[in-house]
Amino acid sequence: MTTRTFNYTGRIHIKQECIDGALTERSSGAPCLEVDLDWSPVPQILELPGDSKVYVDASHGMSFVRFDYGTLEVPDPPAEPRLTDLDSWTSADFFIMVVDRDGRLLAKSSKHTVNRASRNTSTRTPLIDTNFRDLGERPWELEVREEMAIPLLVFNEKWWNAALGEGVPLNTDALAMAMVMPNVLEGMLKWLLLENDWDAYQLSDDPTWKGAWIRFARDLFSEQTTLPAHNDSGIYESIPEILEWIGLAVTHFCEHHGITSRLIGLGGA
Amino acid sequence: MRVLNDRGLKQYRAFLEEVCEEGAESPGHLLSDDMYSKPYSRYIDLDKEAGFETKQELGRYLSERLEAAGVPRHEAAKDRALWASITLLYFDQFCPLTPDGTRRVPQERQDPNERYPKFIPRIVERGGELSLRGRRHYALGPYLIYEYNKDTHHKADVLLSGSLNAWGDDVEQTAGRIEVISNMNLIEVIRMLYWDEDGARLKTGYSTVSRPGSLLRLVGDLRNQTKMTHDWYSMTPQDIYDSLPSEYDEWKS
Repeated sequence: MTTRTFNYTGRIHIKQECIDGALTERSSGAPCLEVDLDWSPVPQILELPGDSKVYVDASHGMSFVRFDYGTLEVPDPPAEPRLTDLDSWTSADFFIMVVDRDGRLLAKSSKHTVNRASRNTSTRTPLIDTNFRDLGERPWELEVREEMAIPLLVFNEKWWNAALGEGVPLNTDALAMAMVMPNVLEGMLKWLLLENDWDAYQLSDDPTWKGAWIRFARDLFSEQTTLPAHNDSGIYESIPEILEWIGLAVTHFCEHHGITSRLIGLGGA
Repeated sequence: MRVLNDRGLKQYRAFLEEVCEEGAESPGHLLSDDMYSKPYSRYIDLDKEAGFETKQELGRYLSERLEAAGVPRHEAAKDRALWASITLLYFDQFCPLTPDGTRRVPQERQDPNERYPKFIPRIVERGGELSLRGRRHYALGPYLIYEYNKDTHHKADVLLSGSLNAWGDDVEQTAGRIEVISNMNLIEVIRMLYWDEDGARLKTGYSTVSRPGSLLRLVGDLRNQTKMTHDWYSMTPQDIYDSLPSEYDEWKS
C-alpha cells in the first residue's frame, strides 16, 4: 500500500544533497557555519526567479541567527558566518530557505544539524546506555527523547539487583541482552523514522547517536542498501516500506549475532 | 555579584517550598555567605537597591550590566546559578508581599525537574548540551527578549510592559518562541496591533484566547500556518500587517 501525500504549499523541498554544512573553527571566538549550496540535485530551484533571496537560518535552543547568502542569480555567501549570537558554539540546527521579493517561501530544506565534534561520520558514537529503576512487573523499557544525550535501556531494578546478586550485571549478561536487543533495535528505528519522521538518508550524516543508529542499521545489510528517504515534499511515501526495512534490519541483526542459536546454547530453551 | 552554589540553590528552593508563601523574608543572606554562594567569575555590578517598574527596565538593566561586565549572551543564558541569584537579589520585586502579609508563589507542581522555574531556570538537555529554558523565568525571559530587540526603536516595550511579577500566558507564549522574539518585524506588528500609544499600555483583551485576532493566535496558529508559505523575517512590518486575515481588522482600528 502506498500512502498518498499532497504538497499544498507548492514550495520546493531542498534536498540534503544540495547542502554541505559544517562548523569550522577560528583561532578565537565563535565558529563559523560554512554552508555550500549546489542546486543541481533539484533543478526546479534554478527555474525560480533569479532575484529570489537565499537564507541560512541557524538556531540553537533559544537563540537564532540568519545569514544572507545573496540571491539565486548572484550568490553572495557571508565571508565570516560566525555563530556569535547562538547559545551554543558546538552545535547548531539550520535550514536553507529561498524567498521571493514579496516574502513568499519558494523552497525550504529539512532541518540539518552540524556539530563541532567531527564531520567524520564514521566516528564511533555510543548507541545506548543502561540504567535501572522500579518498573513494576515490566522487565525493561526503552527510554528515548530527542533532547537526551544518549537513549537508555532501563532494566527493572528487581531484575537488575537479582542479576547483580548472581555476579553478572544485566548489561553484560549475554542471555539477557540477546533477548532484549532485537526489540531495542526495532524500537529505536521506529522512533527515529516513524514517530519522528526523520529522513534516514539525511540522518545517516548526523554525528550524534541518532545518526549512529541509522549507520548501525545500514551496516547490518550485507549488500549496499538504499536508506529510506523522504520524497520531494519532505515526507515518506510509504510507511509499509519503512516497516519492511526496519523488519529486515532486525532480521539481519539476529542473523549476524545468531540470536536464537545463542539463546538455546545459553540455556534459554 | 555573587552567585549561589549547589548548596545555596538547595536552600533557595527550600525557602520557596517551605516558608515563602507564609510571607517569610527572602534568604538574601545566602548571597553573602561563602557556604552558599561564591563570587561570579566576572565583576557584574548589580545594585541590590535598584527598582524596576517594568520588565523592560529590568531587561535593559541586566543587558547593560552584563555587557559592561563582558558576559556574552550565549554564556549568560546557560548559567542557572546566575539567574537564580538575580531573582533572589530582587526577590521582593518578583514575589512581593500581599496586603495580608503572604506571598503568591508561582510554581509548576507537575514539573519533576524544576518546580519553581520562575525563580530557578529549568535546565533542558539538547544534543548532549545543557541549556536553560528562559520562557518561564522572571529575569532570564525579559533579558533574552530585550537582548534580541535592543537595537530596535521599540526595544520590545510591548512585550516587556507591566511589572516584574505580571507574567501572563502572552509573555510565556512569546518569550518561549525563538521565532517570535528574534523576529523584529513581528514584534513591530504586535506593537502596531495591540499597543495603545495614547494610554501607553496594551489594549484590553489582546491576549484573550477566545477573542478573534488575539496575540496568542498571532504568534501561535497563524504564524505556524503562514510560515509554510511566507517568511515573516524578510517581510516588512507593514507588509505583514497588511497581509493579516480579517479577524485582525478590529485591532487595526
